[in-house]
Amino acid sequence: MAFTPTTVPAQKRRELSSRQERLRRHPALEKKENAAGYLFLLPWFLGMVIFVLGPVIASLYLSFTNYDLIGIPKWIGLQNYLAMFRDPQWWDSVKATLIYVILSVPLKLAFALLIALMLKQGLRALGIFRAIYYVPSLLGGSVAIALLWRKVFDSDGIVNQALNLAGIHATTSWISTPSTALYTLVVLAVWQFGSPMLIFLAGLKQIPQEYYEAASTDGAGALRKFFLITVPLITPLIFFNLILQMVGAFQAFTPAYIVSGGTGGPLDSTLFYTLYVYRQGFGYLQMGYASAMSWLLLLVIAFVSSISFLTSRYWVFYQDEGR
Amino acid sequence: MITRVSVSEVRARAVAKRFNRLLLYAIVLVGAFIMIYPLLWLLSASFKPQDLIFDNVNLFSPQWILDNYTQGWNALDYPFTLFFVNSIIVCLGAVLGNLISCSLAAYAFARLRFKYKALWFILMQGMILLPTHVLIVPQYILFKGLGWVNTFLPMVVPKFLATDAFFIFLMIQFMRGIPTELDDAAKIDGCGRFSFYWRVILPLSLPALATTAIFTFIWTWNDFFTQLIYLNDESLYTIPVALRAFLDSTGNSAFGQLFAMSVLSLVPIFGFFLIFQRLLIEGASTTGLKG
Amino acid sequence: MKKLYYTRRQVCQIGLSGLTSLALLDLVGCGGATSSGSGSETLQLSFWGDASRNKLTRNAITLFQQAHPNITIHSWFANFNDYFNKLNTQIAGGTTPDLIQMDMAYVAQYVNEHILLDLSDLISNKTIDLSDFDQGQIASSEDNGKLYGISLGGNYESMFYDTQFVQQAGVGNPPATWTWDDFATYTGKISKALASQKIFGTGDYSGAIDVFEIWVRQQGHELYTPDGKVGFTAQDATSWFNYWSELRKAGACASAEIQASVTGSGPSSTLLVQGKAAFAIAHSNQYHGFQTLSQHKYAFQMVPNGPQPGLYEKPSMLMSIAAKSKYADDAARFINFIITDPKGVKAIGLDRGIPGSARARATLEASATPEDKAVLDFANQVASSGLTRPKKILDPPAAGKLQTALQDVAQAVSFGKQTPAEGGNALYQQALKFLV
Repeated sequence: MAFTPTTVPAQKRRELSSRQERLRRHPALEKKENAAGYLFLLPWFLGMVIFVLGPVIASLYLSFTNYDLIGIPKWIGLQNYLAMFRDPQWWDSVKATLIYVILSVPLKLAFALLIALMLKQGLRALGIFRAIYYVPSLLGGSVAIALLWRKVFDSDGIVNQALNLAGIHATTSWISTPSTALYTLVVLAVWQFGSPMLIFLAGLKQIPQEYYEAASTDGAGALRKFFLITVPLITPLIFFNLILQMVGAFQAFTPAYIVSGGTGGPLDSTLFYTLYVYRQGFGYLQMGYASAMSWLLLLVIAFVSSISFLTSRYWVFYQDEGR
Repeated sequence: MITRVSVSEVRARAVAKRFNRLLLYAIVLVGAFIMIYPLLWLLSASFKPQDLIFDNVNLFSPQWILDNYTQGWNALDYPFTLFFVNSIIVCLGAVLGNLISCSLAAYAFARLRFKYKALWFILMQGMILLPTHVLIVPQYILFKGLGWVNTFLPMVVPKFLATDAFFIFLMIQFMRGIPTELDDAAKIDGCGRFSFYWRVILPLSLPALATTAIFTFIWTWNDFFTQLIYLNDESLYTIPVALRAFLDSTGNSAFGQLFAMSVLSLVPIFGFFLIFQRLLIEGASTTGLKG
Repeated sequence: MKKLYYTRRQVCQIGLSGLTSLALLDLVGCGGATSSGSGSETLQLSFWGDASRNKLTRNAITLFQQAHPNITIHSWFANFNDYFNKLNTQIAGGTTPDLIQMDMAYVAQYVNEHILLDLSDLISNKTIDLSDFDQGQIASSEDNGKLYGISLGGNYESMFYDTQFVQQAGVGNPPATWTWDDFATYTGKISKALASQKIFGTGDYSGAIDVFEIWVRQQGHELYTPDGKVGFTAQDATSWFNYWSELRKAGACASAEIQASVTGSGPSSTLLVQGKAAFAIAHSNQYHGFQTLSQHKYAFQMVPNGPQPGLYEKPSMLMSIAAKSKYADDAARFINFIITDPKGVKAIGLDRGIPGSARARATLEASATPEDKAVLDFANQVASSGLTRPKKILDPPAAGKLQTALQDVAQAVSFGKQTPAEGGNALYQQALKFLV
């Protein structure tokens, strides 16, 4: 379904204003509109209050308490937050998560854009290639794939076998060596670049071919065309993908859990933040501490998202109503 | 400015272009092979006897067996049939919930006017970016209080109350594309808002509904975390939790079986993919575009 | 006005159908009763173990249900590392199992939190018959003179080795008794001989609390004092880590990475079963669990001895009843079934240890398979070796924390993040913090 720009044609504007006039003249209609709106919104509203807003506030409250699910919450003020900064495992989890986000997101977007560009060149069997590059993204979040990944990077797995074939004698177990385990998870994440790639592909298709042709006649080479035409026009998509992937990466759980067998090891090298939250909350039943940890995560994500939105003014160009 | 170009230059450029194209094909082909190789290896390993699986890159094997599938199916306390059924129940429930609640909310946002609409809209968008982990502890306490722990309810009921705001957003984008003249025509015909929603908007939003259904199914099928927390009885296990239990119990020494069950668990998603490829890819592509 | 009528009715219809579907879901969601049994009383049993133990347990449950048609028992199990986390979550979620398998290191903690039922009454009214039960096992499972769980069997710390690997390595069978130095030399030879197949002499057990306990007792100490404080010294821990460091350097035990690649616990999570090591250290009752997972024949071997006798017969696990269980009597009947009734005893077998009841032992000896015989013979061998010293101290509530601490510190030492001396000190300091 084609998405048309949102400029409002003149006739429509007249219709809308006449409708507004009608409303102004009939407050009863307005009330009916309100009632209808809220009735349709009711399920979402209930869900938002009961399952989102409520828990968010409750989580904030719990973060200031000591609570093991069996007794009652005991108010301890800021102690949970202070304890975090003194907890070496908390620092380990922050480090692991940050490295994961900082490495996997840019790489993922880079590959997504690169392959999208290549596929856009009008290759035959585009559909098949596009599908093949997308499948890992579709299957990748599953336990099954994480299990596979464990063995792929194990000492007798196919990565080492491939290296051996290439003449490099490799016997390390990548997933159980503290210095490399995290990077196997980064590779797993980057492997799933198919999803942002599809978004880029769709966006690239929308760039009118005339722009490139005009640039060609002006003597612009491929690189200049890329940086001066393609990139600026897809900055909205880069931004969208960036936010989505980043928020997702901060919350990654399944890969770390399965690949490390739930330990976050070896030596806490794969102890993702959410894995540590899970262990504190559901392992040690330190629900207050776990809540404090997750609130901190919320704040960090909110902060990073806000920064991204604010700075987007400077590098994201929207084609329509020039923001 | 018109530059003069000789015949040989044109030919050289044509050759270069063809070479570039071949290079492109080669890279894309090799890339695709590398991307898909782990999955192919998983598939082939599931048909190999245990000792031929590791220390081996080969996709082909001197020996093919079905044992991994037959033994793996019954390796846990319950046959995998039960786990598949459980997963299907949870997924279908989630799909139904999302379809109903998200379309209702999307219709309200896309078409209706009501007080504070902008505020709720922002809240709805905020829900999309909200890290779900900040909700698990209180939600767990809530569900424990309701007695819903160790049931499927925590995974299904919230869907009936539109907690997957992402799909509301998706549907809004789509509904905005439906011409408003239809609304006005319906009003003139005396069609109530709900009838309009039911008889006009929904049928026209079929692609968005289908996308929602499929992605909900896939995401719920793979949802490990929620199912891990709430399902205690092995008889309630869904596929992700069952696979992990498999790994713990015998998986470490019976990888062939583990791989076989893993392959089976991926089949439904892959099946969806093959059938609804166009829809999935279009759905995934257009989520990023401004409507 | 007509429009409003439509809207309201339509919306009400949706609401009703929504509620119906919720109700349907509720029927589905309320835990599929897949196990047979026309039970009017349904109990929950939890235990740790692997698939083979699960089969044995389910057999016993089926036989019990046949004898008691009004009782149904659902069960769940997890590997040891995950078991107590899962149990805690269940307890916190209000769904405490009626029958809880308990470990000696955790009993005190759960008694403190009033989770376990004091079994004195059920024992005195003979619902649980301990008339011919081994006094030693009873004594070691008491908490302040009261029993909160019935020992399901005794076991000894033991070693299993792969006879095929040992033969291939050409090092001859190990001697009946030996020292830790002997063990180091022996496994070193195996590693060298089988280096091409990447097989180690032994797995790295520096993080295993049960073996560490033997070491500590062989130095003349105990892990804990009778009043629940630290009983071992930093020197004990340092010498322990030193020993395994030497083995690692010599290649006799698995390298840090290879050992770290086995997560989880239980027989399937050992290098022995995965064919990557020749030796494993485990409990004597796990023999069956190990052997079913491999085509190679495994044999028993005694744990090396030290300056003082350190081995002891340990209640392998207790079966406890939840203090708040609604079916305490039924639960007690099940316990009695598996410890005294010939059908129950044979169903469980020796997988959980050597039964405490003399009748039960006689039943098993009469129908012993060669595997069973091996276990019983080994137990006799150890008992009469003069290398045992009874343990009379119940582990304090924080014992579980020490278990985890040892795993973490041992891993850090194995990867070279800490020296053995630093590790020994760290472990001691942590223990001081837990055991107040």
